Amino acid sequence: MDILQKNILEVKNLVKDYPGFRLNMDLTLPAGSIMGLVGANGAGKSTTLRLILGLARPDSGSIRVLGCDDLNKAPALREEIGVVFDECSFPEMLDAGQLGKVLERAHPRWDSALYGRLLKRLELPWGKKIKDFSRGMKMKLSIAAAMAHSPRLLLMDEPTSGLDPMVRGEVLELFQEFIQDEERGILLSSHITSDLEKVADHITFVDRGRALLTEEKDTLVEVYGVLKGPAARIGEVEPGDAIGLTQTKYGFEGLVRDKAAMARKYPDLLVDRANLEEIILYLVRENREGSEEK
Amino acid sequence: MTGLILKDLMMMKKNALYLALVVLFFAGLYGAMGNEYFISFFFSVMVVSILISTMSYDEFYHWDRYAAILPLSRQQIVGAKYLAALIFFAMGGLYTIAIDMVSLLLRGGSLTGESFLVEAMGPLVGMIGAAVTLPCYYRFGVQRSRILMLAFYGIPSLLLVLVAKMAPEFLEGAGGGVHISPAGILAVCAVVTAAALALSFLLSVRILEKKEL
Repeated sequence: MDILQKNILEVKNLVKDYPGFRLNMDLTLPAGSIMGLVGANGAGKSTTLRLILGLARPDSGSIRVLGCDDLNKAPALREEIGVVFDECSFPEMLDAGQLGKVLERAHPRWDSALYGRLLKRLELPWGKKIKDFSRGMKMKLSIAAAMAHSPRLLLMDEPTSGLDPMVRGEVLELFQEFIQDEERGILLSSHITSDLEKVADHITFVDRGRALLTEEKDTLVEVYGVLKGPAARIGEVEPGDAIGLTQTKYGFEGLVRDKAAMARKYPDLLVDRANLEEIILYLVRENREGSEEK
Repeated sequence: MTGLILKDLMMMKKNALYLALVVLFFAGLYGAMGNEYFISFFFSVMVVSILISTMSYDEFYHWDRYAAILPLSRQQIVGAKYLAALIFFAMGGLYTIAIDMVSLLLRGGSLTGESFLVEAMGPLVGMIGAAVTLPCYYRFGVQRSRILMLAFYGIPSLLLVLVAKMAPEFLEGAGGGVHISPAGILAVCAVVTAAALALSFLLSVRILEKKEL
């Protein structure tokens, strides 16, 4: 198996123009991994997913899903893809059992027993109308429906939003089990960076239609740090060493790219571990300040 | 594809039961007045409105986007909607014809070629209405297709009423003295309806294939 076959999703130089917005995206999802797509509302996460799914046409660039360049020319390949949109797409006068009957006839590989097990595990009632489900229950139903035909690739838009922490933990566990065989992968967009810290192997930060950074999550948290110190010593930090350096009356702080090197360079200042949320905030701020200067 | 048809049938089950009761009520009412044929046309309008309701739900829940991620071509997605529509018309058409015929027989009337022709025309006109409405839905959404449906039924009906009031002799002489058998008229109408549905289907597929969801 060569390196290309190991990537179940490759997006290269993807460009899509809308009035007032341009998406310009690159990302690669290796099999056996979870990639988190992070960014603010309107950053281009959902548009990226729609383009990957063939629901919108790119202006240029390439998208290769499971070795296929155009999903619309190979609709049968969609059986290999499970999708969770940011809102429930199911007719709400149906119940979960009826929905199963509908999807069973749409998916050649639909596994009713697996669907039943997923509903049970996610504590979803079989015979209750979807209209009586809470937002979280609808999202869980979308997840069960996306997984019950055993796809190789899961594409999900904010799948954990609306879920309480207990259920989020259960869902994240499901995702981790899903990729265990190293043949499958998940691309999920999320605002909840703590979820991504738990499950994602790779993180792509998106801002204003552009992937600012794609990196292994472990590398990100190992490499990035937050440099802190008393306000009076902010002048000691050389330009370019810290991103988004900000000063308050209590002190200053900024993101540093090489935590270990910065700790050596500034032994009297504090270099803390940066979590994903902090890294995103600083990178987005840097990107926006850079854009405004241009 | 059968999954999508099943979804439409499940969604419409409740509405269809109400419609069946309404049709039964009006059949009794108009049957007593000796005008049961009205029911066939009334029913066809109602079936198109049920069809529009399924489209309205599809639009509200973004079902078309979801259907597009299923392992189905856009042609199959559109095909499922047309087949569901045909099933609505077939089931409902048989139902109204049956109760109208029963009503006719109860009043001591007899089944003639002409009475059957009038009964069958309702579903055929309804199918042409569906043929006009469906591409409009895929192109412009459900609100505009609803307006178009109203125009499709409303404008010809209004014109007919106006002509009947202002120039009744025009309608009386509309046949131009040419006699065609009821079976012949039905055959011509069925062919025209089939052609309209086929063209409409091709147009809907073309629209959906180009549409970003």
